[in-house]
Amino acid sequence: MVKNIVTAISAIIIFIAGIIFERFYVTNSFNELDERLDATRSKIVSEISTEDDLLALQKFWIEKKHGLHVFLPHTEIKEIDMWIAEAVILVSQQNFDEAVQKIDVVIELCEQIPSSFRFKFENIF
Amino acid sequence: MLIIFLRTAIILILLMIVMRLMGKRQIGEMQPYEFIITLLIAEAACVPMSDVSIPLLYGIAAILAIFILHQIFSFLEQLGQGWKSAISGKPSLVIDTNGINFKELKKNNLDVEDLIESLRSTGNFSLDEVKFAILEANGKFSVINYPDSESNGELPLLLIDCGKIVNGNIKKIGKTKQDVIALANKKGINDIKNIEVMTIDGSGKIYLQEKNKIFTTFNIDSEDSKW
Repeated sequence: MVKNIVTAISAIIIFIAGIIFERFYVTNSFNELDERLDATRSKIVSEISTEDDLLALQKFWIEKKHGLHVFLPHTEIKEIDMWIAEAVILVSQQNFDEAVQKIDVVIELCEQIPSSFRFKFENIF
Repeated sequence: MLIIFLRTAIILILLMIVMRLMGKRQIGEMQPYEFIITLLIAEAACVPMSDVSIPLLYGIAAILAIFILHQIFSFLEQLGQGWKSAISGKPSLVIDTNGINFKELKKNNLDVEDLIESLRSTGNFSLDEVKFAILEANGKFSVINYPDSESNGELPLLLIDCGKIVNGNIKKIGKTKQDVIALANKKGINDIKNIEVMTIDGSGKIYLQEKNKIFTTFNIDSEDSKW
């Protein structure tokens, strides 16, 4: 009886701690990425962005995604990889209009992915 | 390959720890919820183990959640008989001194053939040897025999099951449907639909139970009983 209660409470504590940490880590990581994306987008819209800016953004994302692999389906991470990689190529070709579209998609993903961890009906079912 | 190996190792070790904490008994002795939990754990462990696009954490979280639920169920079971019955079910007395309790049998979605089969696995081949048979919550049968019961070494065959003649078994004993009906008539039963169960063994011993009546056994002419 005592063993049951102790193990159940321990498991619940671990589980709750895990939920809180996951929520905090994912939201924080995407907020940071979102800030970087906004800055990069402004530069692309002003057509002053260089390939180095996008490569810096890509590098930042690569660092962040290591930890995110623990929490996110790897297909979603791959999707962001691809959109950023396309934006890098387009900026290197000075194709700013299309590069903005790619960055907009990444911004949208940065809003959508953390929301999939929220306690919502559509996320449960 | 290395990644799948590592994922499998992590899941396997976690499952072993969880199973040990659950104090797992043998598969056949599980309570219903424990059996469900075992199936769920297997599924939860399998998917992230083989699909590398799913984070391992998803499997770990699912197993941990199942473990928490198991502990909660175990705790509730210990709170009282009501909780225990609600979670694990309660034993059913399927055979008593009156014979087979068909109400309990139906409640457990069993028929006479299932009952006979289960009794055979407990070493009881004839229904009249059994004084009490209890279908436990874990699906096992517990049997108490009559003190003077002794097997005659013959295997009984089911002739009538819930008012329906079992044609295959009648053919085995070299008789016809009419012979069985005639035998029932001889016992004052005009409609075989009133017979819940009738068996015959190789020595000619008949086990007969009518609807809402106590069972009877009798012997018929040994010539008629050869099969």
